[in-house]
Amino acid sequence: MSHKMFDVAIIGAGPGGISAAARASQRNASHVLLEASDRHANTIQQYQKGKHVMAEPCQLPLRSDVEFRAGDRESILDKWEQTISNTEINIRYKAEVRSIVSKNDAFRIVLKTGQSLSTKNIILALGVQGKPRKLNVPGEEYPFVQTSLESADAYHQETIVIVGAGDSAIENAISLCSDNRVIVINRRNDFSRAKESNMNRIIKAIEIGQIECFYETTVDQIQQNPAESQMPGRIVLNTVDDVVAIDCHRIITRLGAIPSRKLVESVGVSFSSEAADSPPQLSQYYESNVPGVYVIGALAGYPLIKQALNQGYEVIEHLLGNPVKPADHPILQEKLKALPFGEDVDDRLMLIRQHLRLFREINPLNLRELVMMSKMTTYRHGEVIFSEGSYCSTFYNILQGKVQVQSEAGKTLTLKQGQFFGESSLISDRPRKVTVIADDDCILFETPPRIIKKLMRIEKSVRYGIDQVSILRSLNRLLRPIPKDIVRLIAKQTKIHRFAMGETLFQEGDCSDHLYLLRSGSVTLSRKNGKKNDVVGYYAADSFIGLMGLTENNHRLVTAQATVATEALSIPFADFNNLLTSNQKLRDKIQKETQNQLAKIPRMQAEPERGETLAYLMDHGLGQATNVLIIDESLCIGCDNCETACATTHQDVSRLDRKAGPTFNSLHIPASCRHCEHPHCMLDCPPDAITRLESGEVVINDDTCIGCGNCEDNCPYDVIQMTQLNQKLSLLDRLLGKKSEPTPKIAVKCDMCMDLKNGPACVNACPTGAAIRIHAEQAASSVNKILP
Amino acid sequence: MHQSFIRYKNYRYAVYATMLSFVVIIAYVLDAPYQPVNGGTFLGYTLGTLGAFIIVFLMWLGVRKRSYYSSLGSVTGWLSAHIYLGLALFLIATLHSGFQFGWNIHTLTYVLMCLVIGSGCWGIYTYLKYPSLMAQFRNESSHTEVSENLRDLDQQALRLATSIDKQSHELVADAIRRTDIGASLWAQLSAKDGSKLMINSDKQSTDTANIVDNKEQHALIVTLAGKLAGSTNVDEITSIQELLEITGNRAALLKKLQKEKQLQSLLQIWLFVHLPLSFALLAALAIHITTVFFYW
Repeated sequence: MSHKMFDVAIIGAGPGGISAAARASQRNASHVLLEASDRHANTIQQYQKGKHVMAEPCQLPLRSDVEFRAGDRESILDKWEQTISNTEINIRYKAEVRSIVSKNDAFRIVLKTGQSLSTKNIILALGVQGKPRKLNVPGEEYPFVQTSLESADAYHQETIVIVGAGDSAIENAISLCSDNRVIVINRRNDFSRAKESNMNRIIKAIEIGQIECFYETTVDQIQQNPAESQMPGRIVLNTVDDVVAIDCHRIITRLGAIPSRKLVESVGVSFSSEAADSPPQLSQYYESNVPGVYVIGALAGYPLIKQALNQGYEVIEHLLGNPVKPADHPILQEKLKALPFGEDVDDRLMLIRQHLRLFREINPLNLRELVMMSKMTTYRHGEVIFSEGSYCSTFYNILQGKVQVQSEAGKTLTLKQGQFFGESSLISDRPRKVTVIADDDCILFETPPRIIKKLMRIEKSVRYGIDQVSILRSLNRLLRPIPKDIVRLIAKQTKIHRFAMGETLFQEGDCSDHLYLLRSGSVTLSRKNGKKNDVVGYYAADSFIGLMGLTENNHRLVTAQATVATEALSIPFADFNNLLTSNQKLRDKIQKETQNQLAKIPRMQAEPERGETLAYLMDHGLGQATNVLIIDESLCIGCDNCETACATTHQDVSRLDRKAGPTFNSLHIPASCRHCEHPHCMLDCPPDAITRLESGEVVINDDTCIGCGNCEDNCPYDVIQMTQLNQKLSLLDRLLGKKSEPTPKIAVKCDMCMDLKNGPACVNACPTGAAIRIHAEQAASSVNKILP
Repeated sequence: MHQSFIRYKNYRYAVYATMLSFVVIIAYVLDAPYQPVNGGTFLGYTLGTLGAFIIVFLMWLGVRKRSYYSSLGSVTGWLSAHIYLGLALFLIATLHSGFQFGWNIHTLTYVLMCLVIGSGCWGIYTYLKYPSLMAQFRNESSHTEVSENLRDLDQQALRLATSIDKQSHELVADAIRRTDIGASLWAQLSAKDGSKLMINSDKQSTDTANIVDNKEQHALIVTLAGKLAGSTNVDEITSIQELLEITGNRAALLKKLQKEKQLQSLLQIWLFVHLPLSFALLAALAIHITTVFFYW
């Protein structure tokens, strides 16, 4: 095999790889499909049994020799298995690639087995799961050692050892422990690598003896158990002070994965940024900067199965000299029809690049995706594009015409072709601060927040462009009436800082040389009082923080801590003080603000329960809630009418759990969606089924949800459940005795009863007024309120 | 932050009900009928009709509470109106009667109405008193946490007992199975601990067993203490000591749950009086109105 020169070697037998190999085999191209494991489509194999796999995006046509239609995991995997065996795909299992070396316009691939092969082209279809990290101890290859858990229901009354302390290890341990003896091996002495909710679950399970855990323990070796046939395995552990051997039925190693990116980089392929999810730089035919190396599928930034299948097909056709128009071509053609310039798709894409300077430097594939996911909308003169106060984070670029931006202060600003707007809400996820009206008839390029945020992560030029303009506009708005040229000078000295939840912006007593202007998130201020810290204030986006240091010989009076992920602009005091001396009006404004902040401190300290309540609310993530259900336990009679109302109005599934959740000072926060400012659930929704409505609600579309469970995993407040819903039947169908078929499991959560005239049913149905839904700031201000 | 059904919209319905009461009192004082004051005068009929409509409106709360799609105000508002109009009803109906009472259906209706209003006042008292008592009692732990804690203690106790011997396992499992802190409403109200335990009267044989009272897990604690006193094995002693401690914690938690259940049932018991009386009132009212037509 090593003498033969293949036209193409495809690495990874996922959907992209299989599709490429199937096309190559149809076209009689010499090819080889290399798969590291002993089965195809590993990511899908690891799905739970019977999981329904959706075929999103539905508007994209499928172009592949591999059949694919929405259905359960098993039927899809069977079809692909059939494709592999029925077509003449040259697949090699257990062929893990060790290295790839480029040599005279060809590549030499060396496998772990020591074999090597030569190829003219390589298609990397590795996915993003990576390969499971190994223990690297003797005995790892025994059949009772596995790296994944397909279904916890398959094991009963077994002794199972789980090695690892991350989220997947914990989730496996919890799901197995009700019916098995589970022993967790943790290299460290805590579970701090895991999500907080998982950490709490496992610690509790260990406390009550449901799960056993060895801390600071490593695996020495794995052996076959000579004594007992019932338990085939034995794991030898090095604990802190002893060597322990445990007999077991199976061992599951969950040590995370080695990202595929390393192998890709070793070939010389460069990525667009350091960000973990940044895709490699690719041409429009998915070719990387290394000629002959192509990257497709999730690793190329396309997480959906259909995209990978199409790309496999397209790359092979391109290699054979029959470049086909990408599968998204007809969609782009339809979309771009509305534009008054350019002739065909490519021409129009080029003109968009020319018109919109923000996107001038981005990769052609990213541009295609951007256009595909964006909308081109024409607005008539005088039409309102969005109004102040509406919740919407869509990002706008002006393709043609002009718009008027009207701020609350009555100022108007005109933006022209090539400029963008809407960046403030995009960054802060807060309601619009301005109203924008079409000045001429204009064409706007409207991009959903998820797409532009992804682009900001992977394209440096886009992030830089948006950041610079946003700093300037924020300063202009908040430092009014300072002249623009001075603001421009200050903007040059201004830096953007990002703080994770719980991170400290500054400590009480620190020397200070700059103040912060919050542009997203929120912070709590606290002050030492003996041994404890008193919370003395809560400030959200658009507030100045650190003003108090300004008047106190540059020593911080308080400690500022981010209650949620927060972005702040820092302005050096020296520049700011110069500004204040030159502008009386601004000085008065800032002095008033400082006075208010200072006055709050002694009052909050005099009534510590206010601060404690505030701290409790912030500790439970209220800082990012735009609408949270809070129950006053001193009024709640426990009738559960809130849950009944919720279930009745939502296909018999209550979206709130009254009894769950924390309580402090009679304030109970039940498990129910808070419609976060930066919704965690929206971060990774492959079909974009979660959206934020203009009125602020974060909602899941039942029809497009693919049931992947990412949102449920990402929600830190456990308010999303994966469940089956009964289909809605018309009255006629019901009269005809038709029974509703349950949907596949999909994600459901509170939608704030957006269809009900009277607002949330839970609040409306509460007889005693115990249940209210409010914004975090309302909650904070009613706690924070200074009595006259 | 929250506004209770009493303070709803700054006492909106309290104000309306007070205004209505003043109008009714003034009308009564100013009214000078040809006949003796009673329900049959013009004002009497007017007040009667008003009262009947109010009663129907008050009863409609039950319908509104279950109309989850309704956009007709919030249930808190309805309850607030229910309370204040209910109180005003006492005045309206009393003035409607013209203070004429006797042994007849009319007075029966009046008495039933008074009982309904009285039980309603009891309801207001319980709604204002017990929820905060319960909240204080739970002491910041949520319902789910309390029941989870109990489940955890059960599991810990079982695990420990299993590690001691089969007999202890059966004993603890039986104690858990027969734990009863109020299945019936009466048991909940009286906070009666009906827990039982099956104990082998003859230590050697399992054939003869007695079911004894295990109030506050006392019998289990005594049995375990006996076992501890008789044990010589160090490991077993440690395990039993631990099991005793857990049983003690479990008994304390059960007591807490029992108290919570008691408060919860005290919160609901008034409805068992208020609702049947309301329907009785509605029936009596129907008869009262029908018979009144015979006077015409």
